[in-house]
Amino acid sequence: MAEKYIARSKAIAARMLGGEIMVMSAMDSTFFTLNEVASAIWQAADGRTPLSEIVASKVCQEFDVDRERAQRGADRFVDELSQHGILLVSDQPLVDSSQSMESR
Amino acid sequence: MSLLAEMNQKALNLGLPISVHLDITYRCNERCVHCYLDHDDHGEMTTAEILDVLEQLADAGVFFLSLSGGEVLMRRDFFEIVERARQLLFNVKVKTNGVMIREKEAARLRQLGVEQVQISVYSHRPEVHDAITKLPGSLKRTIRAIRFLKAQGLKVVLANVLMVGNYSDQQGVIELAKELGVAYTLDPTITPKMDGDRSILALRIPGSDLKQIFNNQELVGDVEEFCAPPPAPGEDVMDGVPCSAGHTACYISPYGDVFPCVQFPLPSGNVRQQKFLDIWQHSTQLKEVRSIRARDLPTCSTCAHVGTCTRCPGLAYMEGNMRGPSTADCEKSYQRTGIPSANMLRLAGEAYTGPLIQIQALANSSPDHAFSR
Repeated sequence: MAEKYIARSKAIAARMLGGEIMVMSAMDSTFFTLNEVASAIWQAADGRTPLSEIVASKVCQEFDVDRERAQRGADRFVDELSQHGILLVSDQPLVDSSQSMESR
Repeated sequence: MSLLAEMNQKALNLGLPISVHLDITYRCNERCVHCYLDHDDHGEMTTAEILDVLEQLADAGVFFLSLSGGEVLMRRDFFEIVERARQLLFNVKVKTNGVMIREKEAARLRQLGVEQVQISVYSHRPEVHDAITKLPGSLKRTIRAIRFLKAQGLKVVLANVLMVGNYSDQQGVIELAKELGVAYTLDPTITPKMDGDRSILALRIPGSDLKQIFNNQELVGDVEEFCAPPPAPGEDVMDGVPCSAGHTACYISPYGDVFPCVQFPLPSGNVRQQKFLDIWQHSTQLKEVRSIRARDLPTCSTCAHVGTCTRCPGLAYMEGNMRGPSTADCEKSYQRTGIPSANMLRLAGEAYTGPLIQIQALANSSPDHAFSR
């Protein structure tokens, strides 16, 4: 299976609120909240780190989830957010996608 | 409860400011007859000061940022401010009259990821709109701006402030919003000027016209439900907070003054002298606002409408007491349901202070009669 690279879109608003991240699309005003696991993936979505590596280092290790289950969950999460244009997905590294955005 | 309401509740529980309304200027290219602002520049925050405030707001957890004025585009650094706000990942809403927005500005707003642009329109007829803004040709330019913004795919909300001079054009503005493909929102609230001058309150539409609005299905949905008598308030209502002002939201003026809300001019600190978070967490004024529950309101806690009224603590404050009633909201509750508020009944009673009138009041003590004049 081809590797996935994910990056946060520039057309979103986001903020951490009590351990969860709120995300709203500036394109269609869709509003999401990300739980701790999803937030970890979101924060690691730099466009350069493969999703499989994010899952291994940020999900499996930190949340004690087995690799296969974590990868399935991450794929669903990425699919859903990419459908709303909130995450960008590519089989190549996404350079310069979210460098100017400051996540807090 | 919607996801957004859940997040608001979470922010309330955590004591975090989730929304800030930041006026970046009071200068304006229009001179609207109902405007409460002084448009002279008495020392607006510099670009650097505003950018620093944005950093502080992001660190404090603010998510929703409304940039307003005055007219925001009167500031030459407007786009620099928006750009920084978006880099800091705020959800940015811009309030403007649109007069200075052309294709280039609309494209820039889209490129920066502004979530919503709210534009004031007072009438579909230029002679009425322009008479309110006192800027000839303003309606034409505002509509042109809406078209540019829509062409960019931006979400536009047409804000229709209703007053004596334009009330009868309300349906025309609704039709205009439909034709332009934008959302419509109305606001019948005229507030006193910031210097306390109450003369513009004469522009408020009369109660009987409010009643017509509340009976317009297109605006309120289920009229019967909307205008139903208020249910008896439960403990949750009496322990509830009046609104988000000072609890999860606040307002910052172009001079750095912090207030609980744009409509609640209780000076609570200044970001030129203190860090925003310090003001948010330690201001005695904000703490006082936060301490007030519905049960603490001397008149309103006894009112049938206490659980459903849109009582604005800021308007009450401008009437002299932040724990008192807001008579404009008493009027709305009355016109919506036909049931007078506790404050109306109190005032009706106080009007009869002479000995003869006292006898008349005692003889006619039913609430409905007490309010009738």
